Amino acid sequence: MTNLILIKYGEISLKKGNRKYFEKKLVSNIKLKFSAIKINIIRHQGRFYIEYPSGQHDRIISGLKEIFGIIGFAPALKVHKEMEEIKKAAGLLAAPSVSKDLLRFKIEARRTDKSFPFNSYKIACELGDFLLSKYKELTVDVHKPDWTVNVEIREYAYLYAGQIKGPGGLPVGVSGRGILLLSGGIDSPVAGYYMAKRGLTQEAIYFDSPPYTSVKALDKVVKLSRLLSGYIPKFVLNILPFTAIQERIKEHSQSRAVTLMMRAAMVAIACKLAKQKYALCLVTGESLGQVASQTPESIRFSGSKSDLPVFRPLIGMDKEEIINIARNIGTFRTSILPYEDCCTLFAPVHPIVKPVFKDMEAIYKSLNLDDLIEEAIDKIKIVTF
Amino acid sequence: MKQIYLDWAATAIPDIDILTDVNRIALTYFANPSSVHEQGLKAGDFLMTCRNNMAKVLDIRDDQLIFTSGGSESNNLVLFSLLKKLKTDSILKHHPGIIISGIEHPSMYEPARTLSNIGFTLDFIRTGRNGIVDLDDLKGKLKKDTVLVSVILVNNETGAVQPVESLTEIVRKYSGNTGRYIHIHTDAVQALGKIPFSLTGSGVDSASFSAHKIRGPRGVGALYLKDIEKIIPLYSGGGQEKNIRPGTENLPGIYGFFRSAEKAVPAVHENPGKMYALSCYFIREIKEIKNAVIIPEERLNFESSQFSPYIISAAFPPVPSEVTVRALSEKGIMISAGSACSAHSSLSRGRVLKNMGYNPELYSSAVRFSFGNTTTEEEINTAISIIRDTIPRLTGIAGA
Repeated sequence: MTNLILIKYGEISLKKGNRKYFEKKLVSNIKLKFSAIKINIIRHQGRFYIEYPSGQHDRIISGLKEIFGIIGFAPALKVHKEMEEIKKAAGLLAAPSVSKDLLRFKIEARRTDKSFPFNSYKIACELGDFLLSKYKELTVDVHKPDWTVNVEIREYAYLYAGQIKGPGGLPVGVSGRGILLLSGGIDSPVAGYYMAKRGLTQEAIYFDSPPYTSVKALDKVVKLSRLLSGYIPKFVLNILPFTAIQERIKEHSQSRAVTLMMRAAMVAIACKLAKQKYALCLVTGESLGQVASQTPESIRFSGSKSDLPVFRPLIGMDKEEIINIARNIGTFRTSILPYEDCCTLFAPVHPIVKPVFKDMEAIYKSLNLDDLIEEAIDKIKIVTF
Repeated sequence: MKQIYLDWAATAIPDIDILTDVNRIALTYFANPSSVHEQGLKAGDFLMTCRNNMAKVLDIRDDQLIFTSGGSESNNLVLFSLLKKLKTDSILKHHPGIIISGIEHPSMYEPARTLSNIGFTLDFIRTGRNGIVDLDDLKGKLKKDTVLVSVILVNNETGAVQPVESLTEIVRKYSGNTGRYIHIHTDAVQALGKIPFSLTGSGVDSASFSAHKIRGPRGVGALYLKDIEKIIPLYSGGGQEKNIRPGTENLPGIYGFFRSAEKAVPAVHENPGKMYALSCYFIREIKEIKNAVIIPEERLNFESSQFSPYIISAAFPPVPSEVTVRALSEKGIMISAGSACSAHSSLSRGRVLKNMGYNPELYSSAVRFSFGNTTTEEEINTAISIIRDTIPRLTGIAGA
């Protein structure tokens, strides 16, 4: 008897032409996730089984919850196609539910190997009888069972019960690469998470401006990147020295426009970096109207500095909703550590809320940031996860 | 890049000779001073010598000296000992009073607040804009249930020397009238080896000290107790340190503390004008920088004895303290934002300057320059020229 985990993937099984590619990506993401553990992946008709060394069960279960493309998974057992062994396995799978007083069950059997002497109905009857005799308190309920034991007879017999919800979405990488503008705040990690869920692999860029921001603010971004790397394989953080650009903006713009000019410069830089990295889009944590630089007028201007699409998955969300997701994905506690990612020296008291595009364009042009931007991109430091 | 260390009030640059000797002593007198075999007796004798010598340096009796892990422990010991001294019923019924200044170090301020949450009454002596406590205000706050008054001898953020002797006179007079004894404590961590003072002359009941502020090793300090009977120990154990602070004595640390005190304390009298002149020069030069505010503004008008020449507080509004600290650090000048000990907690940030009447813009931009006995005129001059270059750039960025 071998312990396995059955993996079900949803949406990718619908994408007919790309199915193979998507499956391959999912397998490679699973392998990357568990590169430190020896696992074996068995593909079979729209699902995978993972064989893993004993003692690694919990690690596999928690890891699978972070792999996009998986809609659900369940602990499973692989046994020889002998009815006695199959019964024994069914008994083992039933035990956790029985101990929780979940007493209504059903058996779902599927026989792919037609040489197996019992047909699907017969298998279900045999196992049902066995479980009813083993656990006297159980009853069969085929309409509203508390739990189901699934049996598949193929080259071996596979049994599983108790499905755990996966994160859903598409395997990271199938939608190409994007550049995530990552600050130390609550929103941008959540934006990265959402785009990863749609299959976008990402590298992050952080705009570091010492002495105005502290080493601790950078540490926080590194921590957030580590958390995101749980969802995005081979995650990379690009740390761009932003001080000189920030100072030029502060010195040469009217103070009310400073934040918007900084946002615009960040978008311009991220777009340049994206092209170097063969990325197809940018990702930001903007949410409409949350702050002055996130009004439609402001977003129009800052967004105009990229000719690649800018994805803003949080655009229609309330802060409360974003916080709830940040909590669920484990980034909230790090995001609220008290190290500012933006120095108060640069934040105008009354920033422009409804900027006039051509006026902003004129200010931006007058800043002549191109050389400084080139120089800053050359000095990017990279952290890989 | 040459580094100039101006953060001595956070911790002093260790004295290499002393730390080397500490290492040697740790290896030589490794035995437990309480053991009765040959090695233990040797260590015990050596501990006694250190204690005698340290007591001499502080001009107190050796039975008045308790070695601790540092200033914070010493302060906490005095305050929390009140909990064991007074019965719970009595605390809840009479709400015994503690009076401290609002400019205490967090290791005094926070335990006092804790006690106030469990039944004690906590009052704060008003502090003037000059950073010095107002003794008239104290007179109005003494009550018949007051059990402890504590004021820091040299404030760790501004360097202001508090009139502890006059405070003691006032408290003792009040005690004389009511017949109830009031314990007077002072946190003397930033005073030791920096300004002249006399423990017996000041009349305080207890005082805290720390070795690493005077170039000694980290993790060792002392508590002076005029009368050790007046303190009830917090911990129980093997009876060391008159049972007030049980635990195997940190003999090498104690030795290092004595050595650093032996050097620092007499040196206060050697050339008293030199450091004062240097601090005045520094203040005058910093004052010239646009937007600079020396805290307190009129510091140069005070008597030399009213401020420790080793600590200077200045603000460069609207540049946040942390930005000034980081910008100067990039240029090799090491300073602190306000007090290093409270830099961990955003809650206590700015409390001292706020209590002196400064507004948030000012206290959130305040930094502390602190000197030591190896700080040279050349270092001060280099620091001044770097500060003069850096600050206007930052205030310019801020549009001020």
